Amino acid sequence: MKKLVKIVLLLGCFPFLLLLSGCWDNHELDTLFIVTGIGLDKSEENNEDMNIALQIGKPHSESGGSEESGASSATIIMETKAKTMLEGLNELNRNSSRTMLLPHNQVLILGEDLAKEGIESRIDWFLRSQEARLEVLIMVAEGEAKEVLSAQLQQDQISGMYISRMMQDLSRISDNYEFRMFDFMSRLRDETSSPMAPIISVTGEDDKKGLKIDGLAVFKNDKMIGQLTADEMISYIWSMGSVKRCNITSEHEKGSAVFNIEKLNTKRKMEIKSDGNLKVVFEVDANVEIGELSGFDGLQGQELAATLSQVAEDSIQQRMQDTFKKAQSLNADIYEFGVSMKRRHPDEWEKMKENWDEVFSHIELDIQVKVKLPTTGKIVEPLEIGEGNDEN
Amino acid sequence: MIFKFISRKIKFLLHAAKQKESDVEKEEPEKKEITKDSVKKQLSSNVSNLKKRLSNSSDLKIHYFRTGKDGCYTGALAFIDGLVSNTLITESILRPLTVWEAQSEQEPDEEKLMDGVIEQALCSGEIEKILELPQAVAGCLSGDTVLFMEGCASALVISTKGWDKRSVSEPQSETVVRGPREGFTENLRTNTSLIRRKIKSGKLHVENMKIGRKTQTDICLMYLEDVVSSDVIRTVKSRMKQLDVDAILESGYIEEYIEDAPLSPFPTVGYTEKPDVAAGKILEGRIAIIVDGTPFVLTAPMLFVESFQTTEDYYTRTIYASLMRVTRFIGYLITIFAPGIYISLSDFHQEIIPTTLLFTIANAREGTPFPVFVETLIMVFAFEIIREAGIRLPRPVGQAISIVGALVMGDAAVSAGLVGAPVVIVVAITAVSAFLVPSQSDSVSMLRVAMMALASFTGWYGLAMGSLAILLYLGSLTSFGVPYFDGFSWNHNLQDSLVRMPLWTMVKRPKYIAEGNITRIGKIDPPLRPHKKEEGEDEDL
Amino acid sequence: MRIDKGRISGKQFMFAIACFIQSSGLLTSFVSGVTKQDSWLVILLGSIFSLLMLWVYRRLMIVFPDKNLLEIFEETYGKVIGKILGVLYLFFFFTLSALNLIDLGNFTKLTATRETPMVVLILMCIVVAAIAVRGGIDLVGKYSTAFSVVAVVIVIISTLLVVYQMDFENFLPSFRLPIIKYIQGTHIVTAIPFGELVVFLMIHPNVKQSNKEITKNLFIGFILGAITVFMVVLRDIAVLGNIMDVFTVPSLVTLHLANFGVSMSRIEILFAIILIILLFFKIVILYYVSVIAMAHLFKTKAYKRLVLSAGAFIVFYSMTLYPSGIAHSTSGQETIPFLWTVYEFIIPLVTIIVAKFKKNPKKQEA
Repeated sequence: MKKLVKIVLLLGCFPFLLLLSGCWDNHELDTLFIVTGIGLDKSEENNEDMNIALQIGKPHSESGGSEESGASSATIIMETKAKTMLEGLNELNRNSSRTMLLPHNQVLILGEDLAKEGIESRIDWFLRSQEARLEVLIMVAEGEAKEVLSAQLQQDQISGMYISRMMQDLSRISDNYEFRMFDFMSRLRDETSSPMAPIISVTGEDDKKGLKIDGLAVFKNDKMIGQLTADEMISYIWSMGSVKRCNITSEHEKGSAVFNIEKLNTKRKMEIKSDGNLKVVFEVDANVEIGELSGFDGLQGQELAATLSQVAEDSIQQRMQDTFKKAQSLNADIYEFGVSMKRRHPDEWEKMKENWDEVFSHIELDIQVKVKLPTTGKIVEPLEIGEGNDEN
Repeated sequence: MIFKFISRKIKFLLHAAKQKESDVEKEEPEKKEITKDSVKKQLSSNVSNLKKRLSNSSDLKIHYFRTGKDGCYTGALAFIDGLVSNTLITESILRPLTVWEAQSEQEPDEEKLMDGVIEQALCSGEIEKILELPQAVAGCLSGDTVLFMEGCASALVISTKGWDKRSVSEPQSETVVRGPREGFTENLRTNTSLIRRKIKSGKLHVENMKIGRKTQTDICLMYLEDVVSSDVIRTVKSRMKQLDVDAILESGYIEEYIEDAPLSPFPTVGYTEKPDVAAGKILEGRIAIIVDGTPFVLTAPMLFVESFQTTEDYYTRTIYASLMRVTRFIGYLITIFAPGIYISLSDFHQEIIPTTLLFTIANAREGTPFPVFVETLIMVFAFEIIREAGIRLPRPVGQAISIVGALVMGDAAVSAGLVGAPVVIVVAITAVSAFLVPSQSDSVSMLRVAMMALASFTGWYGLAMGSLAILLYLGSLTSFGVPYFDGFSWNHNLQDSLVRMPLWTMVKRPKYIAEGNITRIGKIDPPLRPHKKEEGEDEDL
Repeated sequence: MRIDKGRISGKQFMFAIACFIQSSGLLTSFVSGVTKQDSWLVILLGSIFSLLMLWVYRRLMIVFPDKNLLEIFEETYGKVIGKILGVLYLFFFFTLSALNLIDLGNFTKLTATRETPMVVLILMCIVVAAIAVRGGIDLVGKYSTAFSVVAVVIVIISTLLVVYQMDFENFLPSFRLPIIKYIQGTHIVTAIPFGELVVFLMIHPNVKQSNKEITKNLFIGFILGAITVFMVVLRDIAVLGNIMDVFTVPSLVTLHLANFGVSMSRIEILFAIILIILLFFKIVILYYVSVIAMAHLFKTKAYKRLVLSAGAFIVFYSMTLYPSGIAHSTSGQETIPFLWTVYEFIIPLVTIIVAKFKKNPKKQEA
């Protein structure tokens, strides 16, 4: 009986014991700042430091928020200068009323200047810390990262969320639209591949701003060395694997056409030529559909289809080839050819590993495009548009 | 003389053992005057003795009468008003006695007179001849009528039970959409008959006993002799026999006295108000314990799975029933873990919450004064208050209480900024889920708070450890020797645990309970679906 | 003379083995650090070597069907050497319990509770484990099936969820590492997670099974566990590729990346919970075995009285075992495998041989 009493007492005390003892990891939500974006910029004053900007989704209470919510922005930007991320964070935590909650950070935006200087030492914290998640997006801002974070956006009020939603939308088109910290890091660890990050820029007027992805920043090791334009980015994505839903505009002497690419698949083959150089073959399979058509007078049925698929093939090939040339001129292995070599021809790889830059600049790229044109849309030929049709 | 004394003593002891009478008061007179207990020849002394033994209660009625040719014999009826049926007394005792003429003209001889009354006069089915007054007292108290005759040293106890009782009606605690609507009543015999009507088998064993020194409550064990596990029945009986208590007012008393783990939050004895449920349990090899004066029949042993089984599961379509059962399990988990999970997410693991949801929660939490744990505790406690208030009050008021409590209080608390809206949602879903598994509702409220405490201590690690502890505890519980958690065990048939498989798959009774006659469906053809087979035959023809 | 009267069925024994393997297999970093993208091969080789080891255990179980390991030693080597070996093994069991407890604590600190002191986490675990150990082997055995099946289901589900992230080229180039790395990896796999099955030699007298079933249960249980580990490693390599070896818990990162729609993207918590449960199961078995060994050495049958003191000792031991996490992982990769091989393989093998020469497995009850 006494034992029972003891047990009951013990059980009764247990919850209170728990309450009384310190709860080490307990962080109430109202003592936290939810960080949604981090921007790193080069500091003007000295080279050691960098400007750190944290974007925080502003908490507003349900009851009293109605009057002021219209005018003020949805985010708070906190800034500091520090040598490393960790120092900056500690500094910010010390000087703010709440603790920074970092796992919800959506995006790491690097200022262009900083990116050009080399970032490995700057982003080390993001790889090491348990708080930073590996699926954080990594981007380069055209100009200053802080501007992107503090932009008053029209659509989503918090730019971090805006960016992550935008990228999520894109990743539905192709798996290769993934520019996460994880992918960046993975490429950085390869000896040859060059990491990439989308370039983001602010568009629009004062309070009707938007964000836009303006191509890709190409890194060599940890330094940004150049960039691909938005068009080049698309063709780069094409050459990396499968793509759903995108379009391409082609000009031809007889007219112009916009093709919807339903599905595009690229397979790569690596060959070693007799002179020791590499030859890469891209086999591209594309299902396209005619989106818009103008010109091409006098062509009918089969003939039109043949011409159109030829046009599509040519323009796809042209664009991919152009992008490759750009990459070669930057001498950046954005296609991960080095990794492919390592995996498929490990022995040869050992030999060319040392002077990969040299090898890369001599790679010959052969792009074989096969276009299937199953449907022509609802109408076969371009409409003969009448004269006075522009009203309305 | 000594011989007689000894025999009387033995008789008394037997009697005492049977009735569990060990009152000191009764032993005292026994020592002084042995014959004081026996029925005397004098009518008046018998009557006055009886009155004294019933402490001169005013509801003891004595009715003197004359019978025999020209009313040559005097007698008296003694009964307690209210416990007997007046019509029965009139029809089966008084009327026959007034018209009875003793056939033999002999002198009133004690033995023969009584036999004559039994054999010739009375029209009652249940008559017992007694020699001891205590028996007469017991008879009176249980609603029988005692008949004394002048000059006879014996009395008759005639069954005339007929107090007011509730008729069989729909049970309040277990309502069904489909299934029989009758429920047990407060009357023991009605209840046993309700079960008998469902199981018309000679193997259905009914065993009576009386427990309670003061209340003398009738208790009845019912089980199928060829199915019940001998270990279990031995345990139940020995525990019942050891009971030496003043009062058994409800089956809950018995439950607490014979349970394996009375301090456990989990119930290890089941109860039901519906005869079909009780019959189902008996058919699976369980024992039903029926207590006079309550419509709640105990079933033992009870397993954890049983809380999730309802009779309707077996009356509705199997797939739907399985779905509902899974829902009940999920509801059970929700009602234990939801507040704990909410606390651990919002206090410890904010990284797990999707960002947009986190913003919603954070905004709701903004400006609320208490930590999440306290907030949740307040709301959970408030809910318990509202529930308790709603149950105890009369039904129309109860509804008003729940509306005021749930809607007004919840809404007011949120709009006043006292608690965040998510807490209200979490507690609401917790509360509603608790009703899915009514028989575990006691255990649930305790475990819920424990889980909340653990969650506020170390987040999901605490939750994981807590649930492991619950699991292990459940695993170590037994109900009358049967492992409590066995319904889910791999080795046993799982047709009737997480899901309810079609009836034809439940060929065997649950292995962990039944013993002996295990098979409940005979002659199984491999297709197991008689319906389809007939169709096939038709086509062949 | 069985100290614990409880008995478990052969199936429960089988799944207990599976659980045991699965638990340590899910923390795969100790091989992925050594052999990188070829870790799957190492797991495979390790399993094959472990089958050899299992054969030794099986032999012991068959020759001494109702004796646990310590009793076998006393039977084979006589009282004195047997006792010495018994003490050594008791120490071994305690060390294993402590090591796994540290693993659990580290894992929890890594994933959930960063600031909570390790002692608290370990204490909570050992308290719950004490409930299980007090319940005896039949209580522990009851849950083996459920835990193991749940683990397999979760591994399958999580694999399906990251299918889109997989790149099977990540396995290339195969077989390009120096041979010594493979040997080291195989050795680690064999010694650390798989070889710890030696503790089941303490449990087998409590299992209701025939000789045939012993073989079946041992091997099927082991293979089930090994397949789970194998799947996990394959999945992690396919998803993470060249950065797998950086992480302490690669599987967690893998599931971290399972990003299918915003609302459900945090499934790694599921994995973390099942990992905790499996590790807990393993700790319970090790703890139980330590207690039984202790009871045997102290010649007492009331093993339940020893539960709390043994628990306290394990907690204390685990707090003082390693000064830091780095020391733990280096010893895990370097010294421990060699020491463990002695306990797990060499001594049982020698025992079998000695027993054969002495021809003394006469079935007298001590």
